[in-house]
Amino acid sequence: MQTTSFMRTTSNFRGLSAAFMALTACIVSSSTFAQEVTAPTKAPTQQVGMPAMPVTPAAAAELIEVIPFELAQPFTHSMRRERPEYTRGHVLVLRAPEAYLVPRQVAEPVLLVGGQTAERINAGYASGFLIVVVPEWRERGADGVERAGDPSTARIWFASPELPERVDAAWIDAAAASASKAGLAAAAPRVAGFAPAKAERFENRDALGRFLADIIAKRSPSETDVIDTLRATN
Amino acid sequence: MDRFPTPSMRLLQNPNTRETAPGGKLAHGGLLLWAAKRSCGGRALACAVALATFVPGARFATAGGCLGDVDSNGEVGGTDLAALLSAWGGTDSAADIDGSGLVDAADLTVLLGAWGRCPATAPVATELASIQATVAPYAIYLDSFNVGATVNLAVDPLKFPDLAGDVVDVYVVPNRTAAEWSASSALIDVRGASQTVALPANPTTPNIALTMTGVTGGNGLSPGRGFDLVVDANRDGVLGDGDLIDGAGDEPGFWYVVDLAAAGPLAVSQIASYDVNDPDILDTMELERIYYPTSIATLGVRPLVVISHGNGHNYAWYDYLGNHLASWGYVVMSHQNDTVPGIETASTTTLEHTESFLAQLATIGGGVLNGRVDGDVIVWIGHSRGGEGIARGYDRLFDGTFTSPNYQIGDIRLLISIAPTDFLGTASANPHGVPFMLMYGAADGDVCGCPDSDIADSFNILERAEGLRQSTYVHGADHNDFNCCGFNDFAGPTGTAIGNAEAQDVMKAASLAMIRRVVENDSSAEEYLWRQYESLRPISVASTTTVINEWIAAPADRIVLDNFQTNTSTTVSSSGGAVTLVGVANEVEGLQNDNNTAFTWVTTDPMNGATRGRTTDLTRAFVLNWTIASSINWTVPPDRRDFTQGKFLSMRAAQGTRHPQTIALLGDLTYTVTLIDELGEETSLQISALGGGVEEPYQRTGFGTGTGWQNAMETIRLPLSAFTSGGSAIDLTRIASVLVQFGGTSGSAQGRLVIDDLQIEKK
Repeated sequence: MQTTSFMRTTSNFRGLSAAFMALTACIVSSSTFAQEVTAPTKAPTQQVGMPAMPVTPAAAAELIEVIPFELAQPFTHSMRRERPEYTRGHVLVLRAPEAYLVPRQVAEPVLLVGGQTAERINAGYASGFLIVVVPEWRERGADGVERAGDPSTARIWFASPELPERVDAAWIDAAAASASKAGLAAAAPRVAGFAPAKAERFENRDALGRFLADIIAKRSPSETDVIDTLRATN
Repeated sequence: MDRFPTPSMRLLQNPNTRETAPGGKLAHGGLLLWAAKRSCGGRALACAVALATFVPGARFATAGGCLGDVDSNGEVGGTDLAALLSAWGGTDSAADIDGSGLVDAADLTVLLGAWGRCPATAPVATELASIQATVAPYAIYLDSFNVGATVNLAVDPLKFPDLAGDVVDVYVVPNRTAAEWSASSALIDVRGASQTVALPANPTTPNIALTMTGVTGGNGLSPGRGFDLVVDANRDGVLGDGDLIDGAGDEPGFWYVVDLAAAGPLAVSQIASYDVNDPDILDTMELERIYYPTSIATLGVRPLVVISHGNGHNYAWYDYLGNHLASWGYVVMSHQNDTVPGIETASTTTLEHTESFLAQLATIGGGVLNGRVDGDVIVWIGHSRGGEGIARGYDRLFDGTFTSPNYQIGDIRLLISIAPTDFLGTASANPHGVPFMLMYGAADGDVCGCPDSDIADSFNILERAEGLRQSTYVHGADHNDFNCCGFNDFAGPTGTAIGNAEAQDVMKAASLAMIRRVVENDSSAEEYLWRQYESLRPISVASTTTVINEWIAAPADRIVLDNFQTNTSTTVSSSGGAVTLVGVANEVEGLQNDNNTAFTWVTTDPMNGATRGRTTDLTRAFVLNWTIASSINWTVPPDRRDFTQGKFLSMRAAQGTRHPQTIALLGDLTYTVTLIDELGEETSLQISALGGGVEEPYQRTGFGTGTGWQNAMETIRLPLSAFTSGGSAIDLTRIASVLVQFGGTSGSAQGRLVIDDLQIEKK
């Protein structure tokens, strides 16, 4: 059912994304992935027209990297109504189809990682690589103990479109229930050789931003404005 | 020789100085009959208005009296005759024209001999600069002309019969104020010499093309250079009695306008990026880029323009706009905008960056702008989510939920939203009474104007605005054509994409025109914002690019006849007058909100294609169709019958998308507007006289069957002067009804039309 739904969506994708979607559809159904991940060497694909709105919920993102970080100065997570402050979290490098990555004004799917909203740092549609920051969130395990969520094992999915500033814990819970009902995998597919990186420590969010700029420069180098912006912040 | 002798001389020496009746000059024997037919009695001002637009004040001609003008209305006519006859045999001194002590045949002879307009005893202020129309009245008096385009002079031979066929000298004089004209009446032509022309006697060919070789436009920071236009009737090189002048007041007769999309006169400096380090702004949203005139130190204080980008966009993506506006003298600041979370965060960043910028002028760029920015004059420009963000930001100032020590709500003079979203809806995405401009591409693949989502309907915010409103709707432009680098979201039919360079030329031109108009009270380019684009477009914009202008005057500048907001019966106008419909079909007044999720025409959705409001909005309009000769007649309530309070009769109109009659027409839709005064005098004007009609819907597919995108309202703004041309005797002070006629000889044979905001506009 999940794959069927997903494949219907791929008919609306174009060029690079069409092939990618076919591949991803396979991944979603089998939860395996074996392709080498490298930065694209060609120029960004010239797109014509906005890709159709993809189906949600969809576990359309593959997990490429997970980098824990700590901030000496707390920072506000503005991607949810509660606007929590955080000092710990993870940088994730994901790969997803174009339709989920194209910036949309009207209906942009909310990217959720476990019980947390992800902050998109770049657009990613040209390269397929999306870099996000996921502040630490707490969740209660099967043993009843509350602990920090782990993106390495969490479900990563695109929930229905909404403004993140309107998303709260109740909304996320409902989205999670919807994802379970749709049969989305409990954890994101990972690339071969995936292993969590060691934790990085930064003085503040600006310093983290410069670190993110380096990642984007590697994964999605055509996004020069984003890179420059992150590096210009002080 | 003076063309206009004194009254006594006129009586004795110039019996042919008479106003011409329709059909040509009349012999004395026909005057009584004509006077009765013309029914001028009791409408003294009407006669005067029909003759010329007189300027208040003593310097230029007013409706004064002359021998035989018993009622001193500036004309010897039916009312004078009636007064004389009623005093017949008596000693009424007013009717005793020859002073014999008796009102008798001698007085009648004098009166008939003087029949017509009183001779001018001063220059006559009237409109002269015109565009040519292919239908009556063949000349439309307007004010703005592109440099290099034809500027016509039109002297209506039926309004000025004394001048018909005369050889005169025409002067193009750099604009003078009324005081300057009083101080000096010497005529000095900017072209080096006046132009000698023979004024046409044929009312169907009143236009004379002026030779404008070598004349330049623009004036400092204004894109328009003003000129007064003078017909020196007696060819003495001086503005004097009987001469005609367009531009007698402080405003010029016409504007000669440079390319609005081209860079202005000033070199531009840029500070590419700096961090305001404001604790009220997220660390990740603190960057700004500024553009300013390099010579800012010599310019005094200049208005501030703030640019707030959209979701997934970047503050560095609006160089085209920043550089353009800075070259015209503005200080432009583009900032990081927190649009990913949503509209509230976007509005916060606009509000906070505006505050931070004003607070840090002493240090930004080493203080180069310190003391140079007018914090009391601010324009906000926002794109997509940022476009809604500025409306929300203004609403927060309005509600008092955000205050700043550095600026107040009154300092925000203008909002310009480019394809804004409408997440927050009626109460919060609301510009209230501040002037509002919408720039919108018809091929937008994101904020698409789709019927299935209120969020995607940019026109909602325009309709909510209560002040001066303008929209520029661009066929073939997509969402990201208005920045440098966004995703290509083009969603129009193949072959119609205009590309971002063209779309940005439209944006540069329109925003400059609007900012000049609103912020600097410079109307030189205003007509680019409401005239038919077929008739007037910025020089750089291709003739193949279709742009639809919408303009609604501020409340203080309009007298509403019918805006369909109240009195929701189709037979009563919102102003309370009766509305009579003849021959039209499927007429409905309703909310401008397509009530289903498709653009397919169905009878159960009469407002099909109207993507201009949510169910919580109030914007209503009237829609109808026709296949035969049809009409709507609005009876004007007595308290609104003086149309001389305004300059234009305006309405908005759109073709109903995908309706069978729209499909059958598939082209500009035209109709005829007729004004009828209380005595039944009427004058008609087909809207094509302005250079175009109501544009057909953009031929985009999707959302159901058929072709045609959202209904695009277009302002049809008719200069009232056009109704007094061509020998019309209509009394604009007593307009009893406005008749709009469709089909037959009145215009398009069939159509589906949305109408809104029928009103008189003052400016």
